[in-house]
Amino acid sequence: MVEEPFAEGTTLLHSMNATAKIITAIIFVLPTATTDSFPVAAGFTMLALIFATIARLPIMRVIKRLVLVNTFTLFLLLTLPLTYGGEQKVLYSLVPVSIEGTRMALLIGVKTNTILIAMMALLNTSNLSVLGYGLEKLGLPLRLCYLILFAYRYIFVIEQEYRRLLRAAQMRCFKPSTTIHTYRTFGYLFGMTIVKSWEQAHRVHQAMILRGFNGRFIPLSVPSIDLKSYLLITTVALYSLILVWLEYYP
Amino acid sequence: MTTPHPLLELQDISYCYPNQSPIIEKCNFYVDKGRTGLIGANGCGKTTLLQLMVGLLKPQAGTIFFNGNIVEDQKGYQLLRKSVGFLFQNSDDQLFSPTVIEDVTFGPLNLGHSPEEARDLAHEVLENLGLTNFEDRVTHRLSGGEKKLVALATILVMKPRLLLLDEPTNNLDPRTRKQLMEVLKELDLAQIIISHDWDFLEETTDTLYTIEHGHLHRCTEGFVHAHKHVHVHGDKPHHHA
Repeated sequence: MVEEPFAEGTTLLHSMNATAKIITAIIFVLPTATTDSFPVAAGFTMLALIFATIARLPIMRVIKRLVLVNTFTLFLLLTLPLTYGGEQKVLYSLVPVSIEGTRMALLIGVKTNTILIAMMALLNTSNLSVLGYGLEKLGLPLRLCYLILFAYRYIFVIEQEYRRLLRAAQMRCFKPSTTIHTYRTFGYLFGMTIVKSWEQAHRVHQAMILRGFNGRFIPLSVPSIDLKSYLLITTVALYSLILVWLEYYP
Repeated sequence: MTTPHPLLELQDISYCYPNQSPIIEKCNFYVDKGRTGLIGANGCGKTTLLQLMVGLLKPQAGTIFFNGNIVEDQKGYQLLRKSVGFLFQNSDDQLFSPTVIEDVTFGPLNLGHSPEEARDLAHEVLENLGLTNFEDRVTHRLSGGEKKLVALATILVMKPRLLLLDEPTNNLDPRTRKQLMEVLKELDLAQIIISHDWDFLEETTDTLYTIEHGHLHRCTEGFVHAHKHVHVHGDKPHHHA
């Protein structure tokens, strides 16, 4: 079962048409991911925060998700300054730290968080079947829609199965340590998690086809493409164009 | 005058799981109206038989007829599934949408109803099952009994002509079990119920079958008799539900 906590809500972004939001997301992500300038990235960060505010995303939940991803950016912050090359600055007379590398790592950090927040506000505010329908309307082949959406859903299934098995091991006094027994146990846990998740997925698939599912997503209510959808796309497109213009012609 | 065909008929159906001996052998069975119980030892092939009926498993021999027409390809099974509902043993395998209303409307939407029609059908079924306030509840946070009833709602909303139930009273408390019994007795559609719960089958079915060595046998009528059993306050006069 998938928990979609961000999808419940009645704000402007929740009631916006999914296809429009997907298009907006694409228009947002492309310049944000490719920009090389801090001020421009900051401009997109502001827009992402505006989206998040409109969608009234629960702050603690957002922070939890960001923390998870920032373990990766933290890793970059620790390695890029040391390995990037370019202009060096020697810290404590011992460690050569690359200014370029530090700048790059920080920029990646800012861009990652910005894109995540924007995606949470734009894409997570519609539930799975509505998003699937939105993707389908954009012309994405049905099988691809199916793959993308079900990959998302089954991450939760896998997590659930893993927790269930880990609990079973802990109930029998399993305590991880650096022994062969621990490594073997985790090996079994991971293997069994995959097997059980696959079987669960198979059974749910059976339940779906028994109720007539044939690959097509049919959402219960579809917000139509209306004036505010066009306004959203146009506003974000203009804003992005201005920022990109400022980057190349300051 | 042509004789009307039974709703579902199995002719000489055989099935064996990979690398195992046949679990169903030359089985002949048909169902049209009425309620049939299916009882038997664990692993004797009861669930396999039901899965063969809806096309989750493909028989290695034999033919399945739906309304007199042979069912052999995906299209045939898709048509069959519009009229045959299957309630899984484990409700967690049956419920996959975030909220109850979305899960219940899933079937009608796939059948081609508009969202409004689907909602109306869902309201009706949930009301009949006493689940009116459950519409916006999150499915995976429901209790076991509530999940079972919601799972049943997701099937009944498609208005099947035949209902297949795989051990419906497993893990149910006495109250939910009774509720389920009442609901099934009131339904005006053919049912095949797998169960180990003799008393439940006695109350909800008219005929009883068992599977032995891969073959279906009809059981003789049951007799009401007394059992010894133990519980607290057993020495005081009491009444069983």
